[in-house]
Amino acid sequence: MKSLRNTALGLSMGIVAASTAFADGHAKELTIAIVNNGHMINMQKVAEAYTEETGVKLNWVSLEEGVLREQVTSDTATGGGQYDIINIGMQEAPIWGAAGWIEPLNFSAEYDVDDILPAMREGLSHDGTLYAAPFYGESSMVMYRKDLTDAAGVTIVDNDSWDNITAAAAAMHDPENGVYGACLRGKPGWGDGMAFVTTVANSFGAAWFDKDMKPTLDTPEWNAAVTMYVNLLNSYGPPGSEGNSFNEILALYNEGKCGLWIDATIAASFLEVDGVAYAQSPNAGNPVGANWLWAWAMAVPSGTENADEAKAFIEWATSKEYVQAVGNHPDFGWAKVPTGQRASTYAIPEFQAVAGFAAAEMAAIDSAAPGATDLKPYVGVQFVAIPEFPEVGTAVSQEIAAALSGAKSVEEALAAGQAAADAIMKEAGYY
Amino acid sequence: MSSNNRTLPRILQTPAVVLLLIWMLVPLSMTLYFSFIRYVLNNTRRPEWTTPSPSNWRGFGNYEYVLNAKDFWFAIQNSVFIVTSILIITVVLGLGIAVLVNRKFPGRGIVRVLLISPFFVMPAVNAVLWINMILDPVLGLNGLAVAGINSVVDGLRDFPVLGWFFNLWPVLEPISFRATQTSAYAVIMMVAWQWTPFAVLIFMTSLQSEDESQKEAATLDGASPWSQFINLTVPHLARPIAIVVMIQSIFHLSLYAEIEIVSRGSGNKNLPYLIGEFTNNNIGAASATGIFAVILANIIAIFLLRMVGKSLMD
Repeated sequence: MKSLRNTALGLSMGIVAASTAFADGHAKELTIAIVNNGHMINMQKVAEAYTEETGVKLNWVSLEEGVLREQVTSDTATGGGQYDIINIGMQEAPIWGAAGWIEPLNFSAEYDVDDILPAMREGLSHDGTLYAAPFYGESSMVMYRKDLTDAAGVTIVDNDSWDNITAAAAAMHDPENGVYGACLRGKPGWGDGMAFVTTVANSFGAAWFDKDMKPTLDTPEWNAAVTMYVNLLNSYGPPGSEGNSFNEILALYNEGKCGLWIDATIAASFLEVDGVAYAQSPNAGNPVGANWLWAWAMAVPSGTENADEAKAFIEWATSKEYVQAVGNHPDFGWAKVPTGQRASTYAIPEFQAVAGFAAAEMAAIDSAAPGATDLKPYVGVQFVAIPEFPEVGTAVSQEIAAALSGAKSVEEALAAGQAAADAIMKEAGYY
Repeated sequence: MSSNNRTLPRILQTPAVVLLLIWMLVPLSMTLYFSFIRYVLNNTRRPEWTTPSPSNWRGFGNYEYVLNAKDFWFAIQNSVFIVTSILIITVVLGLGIAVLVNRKFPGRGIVRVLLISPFFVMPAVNAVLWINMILDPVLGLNGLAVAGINSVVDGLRDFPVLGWFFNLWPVLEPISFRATQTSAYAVIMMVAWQWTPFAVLIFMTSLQSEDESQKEAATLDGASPWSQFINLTVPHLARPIAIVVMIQSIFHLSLYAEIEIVSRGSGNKNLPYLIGEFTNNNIGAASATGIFAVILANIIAIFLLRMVGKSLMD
């Protein structure tokens, strides 16, 4: 019996999905799957006003990033219809739009679609049609404690070299007083640790695939990037870095335990320590750059029966009015408005007054280069816009976590990652 | 008359049996079917693979792919290692605690309720609680305890006479339980914590039916408490032990939440987790892995049924 339950994992998911879709056929109710990041959690409260105004009841399913991806992918691919609105990222939006899993979005003129930052709009479209509306967007940057760098007599500049970043981390590292030089992501998962490691690899001139979509993890560039990363974290990182992703590091940072942190620009609006300064991501001299480009966007799966209500809600939640609603909300205020989605957000004087990171964030988003180049023959910065990437990225990420915890050498880990990536790409019929 | 006697119960049983068959056979046969075809949720190069159809027949191709996939053998080994370790820990601890709380002492009722309460914590909550609040090397109890010991030792180093002795002591490093080498132990620890109460509960009820006069006679003959425990109590508990082992094996072969939360399969991946990784896109490979999981579960079940059957016969 039990063994059957193991095997029926995917199947039962479909059955559950079908029965819930059957249950809520009539009422004005929307089921929304969201990622459990700060801005999304806040949205649940801000949207109470939307329910009051329109009478549409909102059911929130708040999930951890990795779980959300698995749930939403299975549900959408099998046409389950469990959700009316889903939170998806830049990796999924163009692929799912092309596959017809999500509906194209056309909004009214007052929505002002041209106000959405061009990099975001491009990343969330397929063939010029917008398939997901950005709720917030982000790039990555260095967030460091100016008080600690000043005390240690070091400086961090825009697009610094990795050598200088390592030196700054070493100068701030003081584990006996609970301060670790550098906090960086290490948790396995293509959207967690791998996202950061890919930007490091990009900055060393490495890429995921060559022109024939063969993985290139066995190149010296990858080795140099991962070696630098592992050494930096093992020497000047907090213990247990192989388990840290965005939320874990945010908790450490807000406890005052991190010197510098290179992560999503969106983190800046959640930092509660004093003396934080910002710099553009470090670069080992590569034109692809070292900062990522990402958006958490909202899309309507094709299986839903409430497509019109869902689109109306998305139009509200990604509008200029929503930004105003968060800014004027007694619980949140201007420091907590979602950013990176619209040029107009950065022009609001109240926002500029409280957001010291705004200029750095806007510069980072503008300088991210998601398009395909000779060096990087695929779309995406810290990911690859192909359906197989989550599997490839997660497999490689587990190997890098093994290298980080010392269970494997960097060479062994990258060789195992290369073999796994090669098998997955072959299985998918690329070559 | 006698044939009539059998027909009526059989007719009455039919709906339940049919329902059970559907409930078991439909998922199993679908899994078998998917495991022999190419079925991926999304593939931009070969869109025909994205719908399950007999024209995508692949024979044993999925099985071959899974057998050669990274971590397959590691996952099987881990499944067995994690289940066996949890079984040993829970049965040994369960026996000890059950015998201890079987005696009469003030506050026994409260102690028993407290002992059983971990069992009512949800698995995911259990894992989040352990990994973040207890095992975290910086903010958890683990990190705080190590930091505390280090600072106490640091203070003792300044002592006038004994200082040189404490200077020989090393500065301790907290263990990271999310690391590849340790994450399986973290899972074993948290699941054992949750399931020891289950063993205690079963053993405790069974101890209450132990023959006290036999024990009194043994005491009069001068048998030590230890020899009473080995020769009287343990044989008496053979059946409940077999039941605890069987039920726990069934549950722990399908561990998922703890593995996801501790390290996302880095170092502690078992077969269900591997299936979960494939279900991201490759349903064919996930189904083939599912069939391997059925085989593994059946191999273990054969041993367990023999063991339980034997202890029930005795």
